[in-house]
Amino acid sequence: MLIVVPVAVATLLCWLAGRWLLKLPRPGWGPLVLMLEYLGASAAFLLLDLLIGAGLVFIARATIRGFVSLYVLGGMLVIPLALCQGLLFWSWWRAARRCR
Amino acid sequence: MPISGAATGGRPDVGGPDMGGPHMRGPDAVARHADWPPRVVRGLGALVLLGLVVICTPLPERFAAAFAVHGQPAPAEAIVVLGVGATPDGVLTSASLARLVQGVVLYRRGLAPVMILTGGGKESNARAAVARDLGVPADAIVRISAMTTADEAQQVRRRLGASGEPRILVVTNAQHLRRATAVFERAGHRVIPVAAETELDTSPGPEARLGLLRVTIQELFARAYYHVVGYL
Repeated sequence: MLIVVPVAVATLLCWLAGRWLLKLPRPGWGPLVLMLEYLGASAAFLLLDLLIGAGLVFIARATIRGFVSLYVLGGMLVIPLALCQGLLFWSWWRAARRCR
Repeated sequence: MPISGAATGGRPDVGGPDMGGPHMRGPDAVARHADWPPRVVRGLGALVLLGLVVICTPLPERFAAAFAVHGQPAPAEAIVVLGVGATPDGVLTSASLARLVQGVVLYRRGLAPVMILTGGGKESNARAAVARDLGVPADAIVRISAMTTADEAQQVRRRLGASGEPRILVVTNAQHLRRATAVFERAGHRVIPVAAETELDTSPGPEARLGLLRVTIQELFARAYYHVVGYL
């Protein structure tokens, strides 16, 4: 729980730096909505990755002699990878929407 | 003539196939149609944020506790310590070690004369070596190479002989115990479940809760899968 405090302080410092040093305008709800979109896209990719992974495990079980466990999908690496996928895909989507 | 939202009294998507097809829908309808993915991903994103808040509360522990089993050890014919995994070098994972230590404790309490260690070849070998180092005699250790709970149940049944219903202590983590108990009972054992506690069960931090939630959800999917394929 202690980590929440430095995260809150860093966010506040960042907001102050944006407002007073970089002279940025008030952010409004836009950045929050954008963050939700990135997070949501990443969650969708996470589900898709796991679904495809499970499919591949079942195909491997049916085609090779050795046993492949579904637990191989339990690694944490898939989370940062899904975040990258979500960021990439949503940036692409947004850029395309702006061009329309 | 194209039908716009204004021309249809604010209902821009009334242009069906009999009115010229989808190309005749108004620009508002097209925009609304293109708007659903952002709404869905925003909803998903809000769920992720909500999840981050939830793991800072004791809710995941309560959720996991609803699916967990904690048995009471009693004398039996054998202690079956279920496998969970080892590294490719044969180093036991913390979950595997926790189950093994629980099994050794039960053995040293004199609750059964035999300890059956399951799991992949490397895992069961490494466990047998640790069990011997912890004072379990080599002739009391039986190693079984099995990769799934269903396979473990069948192989243990074969090893213990076909007659009667052998009474066994099954050691695994609390979330896995319900499925393991059902599968072993279906294979013809009388099961006394015993939970091996891990750091996930005892540390109340958000990371442990996230791990606990992951294990519980994983186990729920495993149960659903076992029902579908007929193991339960």
